[in-house]
Amino acid sequence: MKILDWLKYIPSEVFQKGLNVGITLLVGVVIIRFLLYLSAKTFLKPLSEHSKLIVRNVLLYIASTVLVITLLRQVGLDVSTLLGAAGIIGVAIGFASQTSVSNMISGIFLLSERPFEVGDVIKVGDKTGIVSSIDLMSIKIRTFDNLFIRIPNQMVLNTEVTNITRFPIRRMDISFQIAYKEDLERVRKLLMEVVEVNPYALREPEPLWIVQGFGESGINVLLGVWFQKQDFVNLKNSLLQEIKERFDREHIEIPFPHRTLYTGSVTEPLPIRIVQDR
Amino acid sequence: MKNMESVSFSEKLAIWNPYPLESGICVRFSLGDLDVWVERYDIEWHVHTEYRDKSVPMGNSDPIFRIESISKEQKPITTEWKHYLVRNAPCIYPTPAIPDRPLVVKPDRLLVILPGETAQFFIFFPLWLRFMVGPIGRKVTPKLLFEMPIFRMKSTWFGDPVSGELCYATETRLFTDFHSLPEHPLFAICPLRIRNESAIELPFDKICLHTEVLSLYGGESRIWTNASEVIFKGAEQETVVEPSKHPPSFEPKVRLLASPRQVSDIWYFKRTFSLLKIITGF
Repeated sequence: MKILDWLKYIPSEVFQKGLNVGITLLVGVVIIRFLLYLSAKTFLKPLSEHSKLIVRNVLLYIASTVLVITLLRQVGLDVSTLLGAAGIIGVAIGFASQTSVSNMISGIFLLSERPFEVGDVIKVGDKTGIVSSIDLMSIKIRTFDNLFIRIPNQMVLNTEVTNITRFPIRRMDISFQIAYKEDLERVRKLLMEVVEVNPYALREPEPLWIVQGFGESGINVLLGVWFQKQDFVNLKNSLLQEIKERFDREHIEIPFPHRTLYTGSVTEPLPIRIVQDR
Repeated sequence: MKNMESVSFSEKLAIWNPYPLESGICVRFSLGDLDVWVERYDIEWHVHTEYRDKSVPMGNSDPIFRIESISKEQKPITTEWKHYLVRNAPCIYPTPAIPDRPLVVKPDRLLVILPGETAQFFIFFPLWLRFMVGPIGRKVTPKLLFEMPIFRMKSTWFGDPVSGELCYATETRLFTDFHSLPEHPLFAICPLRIRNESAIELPFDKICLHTEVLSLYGGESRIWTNASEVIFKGAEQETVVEPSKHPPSFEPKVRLLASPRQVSDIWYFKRTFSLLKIITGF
């Protein structure tokens, strides 16, 4: 009852305008939501996640602007005057919010350049994760240990970005050492057999084999194996295990640095006890 | 285990016959590299699959096939058994199927097809097992439980690393004579005719065969796909690969075993031959 009494003091003209604005706002929001739902079910359906996001955002921004202008006109504000004022205000706000504007412009570049899409696995600086959204101000990634990271667009544009899943296949490079006494050709053949049997390694492009040089403890070699991008973890785990097992079976030595203890000239030499094999 | 040489092809083909299974009985299907243990309890099917001997390179194991009842003690003890619920389906329908990806076929020798020449080849490739169950007598279409390669198949990539495609790799003898073709119920034969209509030599060292558009036919002595014709018009032009709409004509009586995975009348395939890869510098 008290609220109704209070409403009596509001001029009927103001009440009418408020009611109109309220109804327009409600109807507008419903229409915008319906438009977004309709677009998602129709012409957005065949598009990629990345394109869907862009088109959806553009639709949302246009529809929201139209709604705001309509509401302002209903209130009785002159939109053209407001836009003129907005120019002056815009300059002031622009100076005050250089970072935001810079992020927005970077966002536009990112959207047009498309170095990655939603769903890609990217590495920005030391952060690696799956792109969950690309917005005007920032991109959002989800790391493999399930952390949410927001990276400002300006930073993305200024940093080296690696798109790990851009191409359908990748090469995994495994560097290791072989003892000097080993026959390199035999080792190469054994490794090729291991790769051939591994279900995640591709037969072609052929595995890469490079003898990189002579190291302190052994010969440095590199084995590059091609795989489908989604098989990274499976290949890494299985291949390294299989190489180790095969080397153990074939008595091929993987050398490692040895440490000699020197006790210095002041102290006595370390006592050594020789244990005879039985 | 049956000796491959001592049985007729129709006996060999019996591996693809329906197999009614009583409730509580466990059987093992051994096909190529694959063992399938199956047990039925009324409406519940318990299935476990395993490839034999992982250290053997893919496709190199003995081409065996057998079905045998096994006791409960012989059943593999593992948590990898899958349970399927299917009503009114006491019968197994093992069916041969085409691989789900294209095959990169590498002949054991390099052949060069001169300009204007046509060559007839037969490509011998391993089949997949489509494991279905249904009522006895096929009153209702059997339901698919799973499908998988009979022989381990190695994945490979055909084309450049950016726009190529994932395939299976098979190394095969390239048969040119129909009579020298082996009779094997776990392999299919694709008759392939290659016409070199270009002005350059066509080295046939590798071909990508899109088996997914081919049907499977059972003959009296072999399993076939419909024939395909490849017309090579030059490196700069599209190579036309046209699968025939008719069953193969190399045996008088053939029956349809499986329809193609994808329906396609003709496809233009730029990277059928590896020659294009060399020319385009991929």
